[in-house]
Amino acid sequence: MSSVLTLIFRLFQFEGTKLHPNVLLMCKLFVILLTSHHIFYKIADPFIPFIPALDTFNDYPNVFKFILRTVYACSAFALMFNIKVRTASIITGLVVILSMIASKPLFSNHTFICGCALFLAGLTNEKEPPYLLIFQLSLVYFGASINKFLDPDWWSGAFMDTWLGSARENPVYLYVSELLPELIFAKLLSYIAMLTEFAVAVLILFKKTRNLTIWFIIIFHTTLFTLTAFRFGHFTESLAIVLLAFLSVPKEQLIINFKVQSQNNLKRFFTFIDLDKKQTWSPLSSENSFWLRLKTKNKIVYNHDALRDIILYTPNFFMIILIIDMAMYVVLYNHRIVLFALNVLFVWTVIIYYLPKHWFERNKT
Amino acid sequence: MKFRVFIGILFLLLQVGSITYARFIPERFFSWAPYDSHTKFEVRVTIDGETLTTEETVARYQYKMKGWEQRSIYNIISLISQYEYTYSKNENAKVIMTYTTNGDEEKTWKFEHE
Repeated sequence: MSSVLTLIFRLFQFEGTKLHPNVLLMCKLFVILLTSHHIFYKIADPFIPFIPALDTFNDYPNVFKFILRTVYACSAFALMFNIKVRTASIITGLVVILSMIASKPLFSNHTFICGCALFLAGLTNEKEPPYLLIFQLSLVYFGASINKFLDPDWWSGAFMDTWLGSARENPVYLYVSELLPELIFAKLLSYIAMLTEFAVAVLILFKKTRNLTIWFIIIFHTTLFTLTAFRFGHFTESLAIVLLAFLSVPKEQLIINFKVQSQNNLKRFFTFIDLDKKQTWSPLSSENSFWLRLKTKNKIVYNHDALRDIILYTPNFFMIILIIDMAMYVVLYNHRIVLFALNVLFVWTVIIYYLPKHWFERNKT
Repeated sequence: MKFRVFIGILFLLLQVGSITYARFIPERFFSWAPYDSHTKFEVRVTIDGETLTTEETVARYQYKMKGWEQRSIYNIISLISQYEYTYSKNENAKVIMTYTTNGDEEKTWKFEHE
């Protein structure tokens, strides 16, 4: 029984493997995301494949499908339970990509990014930053921006007007467009999108601008979601998950001191979800002016600064967020406006809570 | 350079190649070009004079055959063409797609076995 429990706990553990804990988190979240979007059942025999030679498998029905499904199930299992994580990540990513290569109708960018990130994650290690994932993200935005720059309909606003005006009949877009000369708002949105994507593609490559770029990405996509109520398949979630790979999680134990009177529930919550036992919680004396302190090798932070970091350094917090997000989608499937409102409220609250306060403090002085 | 880093860079360079190649063809697969055009389209398939329903057409190509397409419409043209040239070589299928991209004038694409 205890060995079964130990195995189950590994689902929620991220330390001690050949991957950075946050990269492993990214991989596990991708497996959950892909599986919940039925990738297992989408894997099928070749149908209109990109490589015509794959049609040969159709002479042996179900062989391709069953082999690929079995490989996916095994590699996803290994990844989720911390068994040969790098190999499992590479194989899972390759299965996802191969399933799309075997079927043009199955191709989607939001699935492709998952496959690419999983494959490249498996080529990283726990010693160096995940440079390959940084380059991958840059490539995504570079491809997107180049394509737009070379399309006259993006410069004229025609695409934006067709998408938001005709296809989605977006009320915000229609209202604002009425107030401005024809296509001005469409052009403005187009130019912002193009420039943002190109800026992200370039700035994410440099360490100095990486954090700022990540904020760009978060705010850009959140604004897009707020304006359109659309996640582009699961592209928005996929991008958010990839960004987890860029977290700088301390390697050493996190020493957390807390005021028992007010923060006991906080301590119980984080202790419960910290299955890596990376956090050491000790009570503070009541004379202290602060209610929370986090000490790592490089810094000591207090109160909300400490809480923000503790959240970021607790991988299972993000597992919980993803599962709640998926559960909300199921529960509120027939109440899309409520679901949208809750999503927007949650995401913007988190953004405002995490906005680097020192940006504004610097401007004040 | 470690072998795994080399493989990773090769993988990324393949994508660079794909993005570059996409500049010379109308399709936009594997080139990170989602939501770059918005096309309203409808596909009608006739086999031996009998027109398929939308559901039958969707089942035939396993992709939506009516509505809005958020990627290049040539992705769908490529899909249909390949199907007809391979799986449907001996059927007398005629395909007509009417479409308008980004609010432009309506166009028609036709496919017929020779």
